[in-house]
Amino acid sequence: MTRTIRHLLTLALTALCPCTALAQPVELPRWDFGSSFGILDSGHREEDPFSDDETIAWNLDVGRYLTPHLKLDGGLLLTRSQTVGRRRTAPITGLPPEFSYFDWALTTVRPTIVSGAFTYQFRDNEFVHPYLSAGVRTIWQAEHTVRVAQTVRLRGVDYAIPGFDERTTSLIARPFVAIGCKSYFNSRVFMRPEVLVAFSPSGYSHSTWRIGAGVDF
Amino acid sequence: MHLKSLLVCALVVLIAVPGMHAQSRFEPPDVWRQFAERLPAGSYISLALKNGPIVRGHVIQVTPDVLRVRPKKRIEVPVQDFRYDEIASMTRLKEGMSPGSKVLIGVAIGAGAIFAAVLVLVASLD
Repeated sequence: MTRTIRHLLTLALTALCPCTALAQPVELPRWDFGSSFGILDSGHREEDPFSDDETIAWNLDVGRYLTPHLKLDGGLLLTRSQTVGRRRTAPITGLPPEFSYFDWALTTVRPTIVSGAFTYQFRDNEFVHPYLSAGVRTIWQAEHTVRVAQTVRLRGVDYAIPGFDERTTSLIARPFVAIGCKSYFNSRVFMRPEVLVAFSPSGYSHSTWRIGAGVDF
Repeated sequence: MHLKSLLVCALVVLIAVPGMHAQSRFEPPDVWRQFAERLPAGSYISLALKNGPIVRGHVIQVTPDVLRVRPKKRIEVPVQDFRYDEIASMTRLKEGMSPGSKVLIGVAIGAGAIFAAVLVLVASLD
């Protein structure tokens, strides 16, 4: 009796879920390669690698299909360098350490982002493939801060404020999720709009909104 | 035991009733054969099959027994034959642009709108 019920349940499930019986095996491309332009938005200045709220970003992506639906992705994101003003403190020679000099220094920043992700691509052999990605972005930022030497006069006495020229780098990793869609022109060439959101320990880190083109091969 | 019997009966009814409805819902195969015979070769059609799938593709050949269709897929698949009694419905479609082209046009429109807005802004500043 139990076996009968099991068989009937199987039959019912089969009847209720029409499968894609017409899906046929085809030779699918194993790689994809694409490039895109977009906007990188960093939500707040606490996220140190970024110097500005929004900037234009250029992406280069390569993916390797592990299965017809699962893909391993690697990406490179570059932004234009930006120059921002940052407040810096300098000691004043000849005065006690309690006295210091505040001024703006010019900092040129340029983040470079390298990412790795797993992508799940929906649908089989269609002209539109929505997808979901999850992975990690490694953000490397080079900073070059400059302030020229100057002299300030306090109560008739001149004090030399030393200039400086510093180069620093920082490296952080941020997890992200992305949603997008590969829309094909033909069997291989596609457009790819995508939205990506990365997270920091305090919540939102940054996002990218981009569109580009690519090719399967 | 009584409960199991009830469950079996319920499942039998669940499976059988949609099928009975379906039988009465479908047109006879001759309807689709005659429809197909009037289609020019290469017509783009949508076929809904009685077992669920929907196939979109181009008509290759119409025979008395089967309709031969090349499914429209991104990567080409072999021509498939469909018996007329498998067909739940058939519709002739107009072939549109590829999804990639639609996205590209959307991007162009968006970029054009932004450019126009910038031009308006610049003009208003002058």
